Formats: sequence, structure tokens, C-alpha cells
Amino acid sequence: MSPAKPLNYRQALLSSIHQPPQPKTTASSPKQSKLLLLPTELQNNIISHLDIPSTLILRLTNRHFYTLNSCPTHTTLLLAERTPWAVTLNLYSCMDCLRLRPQAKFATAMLNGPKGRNGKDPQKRFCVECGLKGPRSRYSPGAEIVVEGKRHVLCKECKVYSGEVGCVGSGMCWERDVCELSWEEGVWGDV
Amino acid sequence: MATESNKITLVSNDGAEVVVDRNVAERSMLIKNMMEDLGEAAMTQSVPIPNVNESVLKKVIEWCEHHKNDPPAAADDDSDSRKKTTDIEEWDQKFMQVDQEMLFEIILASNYLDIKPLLDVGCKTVANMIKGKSPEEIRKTFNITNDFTPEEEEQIRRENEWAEDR
Repeated sequence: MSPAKPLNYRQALLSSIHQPPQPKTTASSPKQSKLLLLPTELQNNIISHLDIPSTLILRLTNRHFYTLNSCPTHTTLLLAERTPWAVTLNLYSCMDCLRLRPQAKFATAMLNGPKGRNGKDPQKRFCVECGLKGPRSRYSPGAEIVVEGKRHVLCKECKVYSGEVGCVGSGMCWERDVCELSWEEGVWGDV
Repeated sequence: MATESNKITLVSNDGAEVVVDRNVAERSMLIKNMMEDLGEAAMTQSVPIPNVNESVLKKVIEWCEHHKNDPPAAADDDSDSRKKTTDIEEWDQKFMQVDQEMLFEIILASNYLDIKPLLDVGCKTVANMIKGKSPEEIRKTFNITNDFTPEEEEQIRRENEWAEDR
């Protein structure tokens, strides 16, 4: 599949070059987008008047605007997450995947305090997915990760991110950092 | 100086002659510079404006008439205060209530004639048409075809989880 893409792109490029110049009439084809026909510097002028959310949304309309506005930088995302738009949609930036993600993708600890939207270190926030990624993940085995009130754990035993913490604070055991499965196995093993 | 000599005749690309006061026409930096270069000789001749048709030229001149007494823009006016705001004064807003065809013609003409304040008003008007819309609404407004491949769509969906309404 991969060689097909550059070929299509090249064909598109060639056909755009070989297109005959549009005759200058007031009644030109309504199919043509006047916005896309503007010279790039004028499109950039228009974009310079847009707020960050509008710039991000315009990128999603078609290929041209996707490449004209480059991928947002972390700085841009940090500014974007403080706009009313992001607050309404509950979006936060992740320092690793450089995306705006809904709050359900982050541990509660990442959304409050210093790493919160208005904290002093929002640039240090990362999503659960990125925190668990790789052999040397940001979260270490045994970490308890609370997401939207639900407690999860990166199990110390099986090294898997699990839905439930073994012992939910009953005080009966100290093994709060293993998943339910490992915990139960452990309990039954001891018995 | 006689009032007669303070008029300039502009000729649109469809051959229409439009007579305007020199100070009005000189809102266009293109014409202003040309006048300075040619001196009085230019006053007696008509000036061809090859990229602009009659209706657009008249519209642009209408704007220049209204703004002929505006103070000249500061030399370095690329500040953020100018850029990030889309506030348009009331008269200009009414002036820009035209169809899209005309709106983009005004933008192109003001760019060609080098009338920066009018170009800004035009670009801000388009920016305001983009603001607050979903990608699909923007496509509809400006006749933009969604030309992403399914693979690209998938990538975009992953990068922009927040954009559910596409």
C-alpha cells in the first residue's frame, strides 16, 4: 500500500500544475473554493486572525489546511487547554503524545494541583497511556492510578495495568499495589 | 491647485473609467507610490488597474472614500494586538456584508492595490466565518472537499480525539 500514496500525491500535484489557468470571469465554477484559491500568504493572513481552537479545527477540514498549519507545539497545546473551548470539552494536553485529550485519559493527580490546568507545572502532565508506555514507563510497578474516581493499579506482580486495586483500603493487607487477580491469588495462596 | 487636477481616472480590467479624488485613491499604496514616481504627468492620464473589475473597484473606492481621513497605519503594525483580534468597526462590518465571491475579490484587490487596512478587514471577516464552526461546517461554508484518505482520516481521528463531529 505504501508506494500508492506518494504516487497519488504526485499525480495530484502534476494535475494541479497542468490545470489550465482559470478564465477570469465573475461567474466561475461554484465548485471551486474561493478560500483555497487565495494565495498562501493571504490564507496565512486569515489564519493569523484565528484563535487557537479555530486553527486546530481548520486543520481538520482538508489536506491543504492540515499541512499549512503545522502540528501544534506543546506550548500551543498548553495555551489551547486554557481556552474556554478546551475547558468546556474537558481537554488537557499530554507532554508525551502532544495531543489534547479528554480528562478520562488522565490520572486525577495529573488534572489537579501543580499539573492542573492552572497549576505551575501543566507542562509535566502526561496521559495514562503514555505513562505506561515502554519498558521504562513513567509509572513504576505498584503505582496506583486513579482515573475519574476509579482506582487502577500497575500491578507489581504481573506488570499489567489493571482495572481494580486488590485491596481497596480495607487495611487488612498491605498489598494495595497488586491487581485484584494477583491479590486474590496471593490471598488464596497464603491460606 | 484646481480641483480638476486633484482627480485621478482609474480604469478597471473591464474598461470602466472611475474618477476619484487623488487623496482617496492614495489609500492604495500602489497608486500612491506610482503617483510619487510619475509626478504630475500621471494626473492627466488614466491609470489602468488590470487585476480588478468595475464592481470590485467601485466597492474598494467606496471603502477608501469612507476611510480617506484615517490616520496612516503605524509602520510596524504586525503586533499581536492587531493580529489576534477580529474586532471590526461597525461601518466596515456592514461594508463587508457581501457574497463570498465579492468578499474574496475585495481581499485580492486590496492585496494587489496594497491597501493594508482593507486587506485586514477582509481577512478578519473570513476569520470570523471560520470561528466557532466544526470542520464539516467550515467545508460547507467555503466549498472545501474533504480529500483525506481513509488512512489519513484514521490518523487524524487518533490525533484529535476531541473532534468527534467531523
